[in-house]
Amino acid sequence: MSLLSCRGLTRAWGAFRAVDGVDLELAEREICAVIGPNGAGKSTLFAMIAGNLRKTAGTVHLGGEDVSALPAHAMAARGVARSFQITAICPELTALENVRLGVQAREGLRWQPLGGRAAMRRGEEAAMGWLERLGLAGKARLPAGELAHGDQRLLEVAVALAQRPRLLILDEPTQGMSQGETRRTVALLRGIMAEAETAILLVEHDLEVVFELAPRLIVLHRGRKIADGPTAEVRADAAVQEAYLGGLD
Amino acid sequence: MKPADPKLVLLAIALAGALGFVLPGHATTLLTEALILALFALSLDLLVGHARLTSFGHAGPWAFGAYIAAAQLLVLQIPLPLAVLVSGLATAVIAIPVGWLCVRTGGVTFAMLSLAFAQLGFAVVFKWNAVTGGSDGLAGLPRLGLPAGREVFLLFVCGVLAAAYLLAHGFVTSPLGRIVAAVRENEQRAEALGHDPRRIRLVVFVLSYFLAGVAGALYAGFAQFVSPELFFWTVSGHVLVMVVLGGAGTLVGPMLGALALFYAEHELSALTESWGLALGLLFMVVVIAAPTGLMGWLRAAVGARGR
Repeated sequence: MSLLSCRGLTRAWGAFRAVDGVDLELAEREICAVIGPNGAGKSTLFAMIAGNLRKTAGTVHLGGEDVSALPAHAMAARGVARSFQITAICPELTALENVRLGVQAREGLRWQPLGGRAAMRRGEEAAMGWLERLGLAGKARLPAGELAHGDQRLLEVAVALAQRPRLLILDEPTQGMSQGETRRTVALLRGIMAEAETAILLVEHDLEVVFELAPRLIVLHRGRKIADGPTAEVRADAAVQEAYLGGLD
Repeated sequence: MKPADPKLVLLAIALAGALGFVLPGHATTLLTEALILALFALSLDLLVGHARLTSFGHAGPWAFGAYIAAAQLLVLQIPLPLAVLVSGLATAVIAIPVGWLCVRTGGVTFAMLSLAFAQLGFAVVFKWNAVTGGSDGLAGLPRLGLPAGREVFLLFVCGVLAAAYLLAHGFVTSPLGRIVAAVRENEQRAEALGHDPRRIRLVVFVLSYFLAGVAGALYAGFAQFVSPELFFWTVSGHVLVMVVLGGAGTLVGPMLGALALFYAEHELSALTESWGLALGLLFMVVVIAAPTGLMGWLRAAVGARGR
């Protein structure tokens, strides 16, 4: 059985259909990239899957459960973690505290209004481990808002990883990064993906990144899915892809 | 030692309690009132500083707690400490439906809704003569269950303030308190971590109203009198100034802000008729010179000396 199963996902604003009848199946631990030009509906699709946006039509099942109508926090509680196209971190909290909150969410430590010192300290240790993995350990005590843009993007990934999700949604993790930063990030992500016990949906503009990271590729165009398969095959569909990626839009 | 060290804060509160035995009676009374206001400001700091929900209606829970305490003292004739606790709990209960409506969003909507509920309370106690005494209020509240003496009442207030501070401090550093911080910092991130921002805001709202209700009940016991003025919107503005003056989000700062504002008002009003003007100017100077409030100032001073 697949982990994630989307049927006929549609989001319309008036007559404009940002996402139009998209089906998507994702197996446990599968890594899949979604590409397409600006306005193809990638972020809209992810927002619907993660519960950030109401669906005009269509259903989402996670691990067999119908989660179509659940809000984002309920999806997160079911093991869906995500990074956003526009970085969403807590700027005044330290980098460490940001990741610790991810660890805390994983442990389901929610309604404890007093105490919790020991759990918090354990959480900090685990969080430090994630920061080390992403090369941010030296900046652990800085307020997250003071990190460089690229480090903030990585920090957001660290928070999502600390939640140890079943499904990880990464919306353009290298967005706005320099070439060097992008290369570093891709190397880091590849290492993490190799051992992570999570399925990953990845939006990326940078095709080089996609080809390196994702064994499976979905192409969106004007809200519709126009290709879905092993990256090599979809890529080899060169005539169609090049024409569409380079020319039409 | 940091100025916000909990041990230092508790020590300061204990010292304030001990002052009752050496100060002249009038000064003890002033200090008691100042410390009740410190508790009031502490309660608002949970909302304004920690959750960044700027309330313009904190007179609401304060006056509600005071009236509930007055009713208990007059009708049930129960001991004051018990009445204070019950008043806080009653305020917390009423805060659940009120908060549910107020915390849908932050920002101006929240500020206006909180103000509206306080004004509603004002209208109710003002008009409902038979029960609340209308504009005359309720006078002659007995202070049962406490030995007589100003210094005893001061000690009682100090005990409540210390407990309230420990509760507030414990809350903001607890797992739930950290989630409140996450909701304040980035609602989208908090949701992605699995937290419902509205429920989280409601929790801090209820806690803040509980402490404000306790403060109001203490004030009723202190003044032995309640009137609709307790609900008036200037009370909400006044306590908000205390929080900002002292440094929002630091818990200790707003308590210091309350003391500073209270004593400044007292001294200035003895000197000049237009003390309001002088106070306004003073407030402007502090906000411009120390935008993080007295607490920010104090931290910088201690930090500079430490280095």
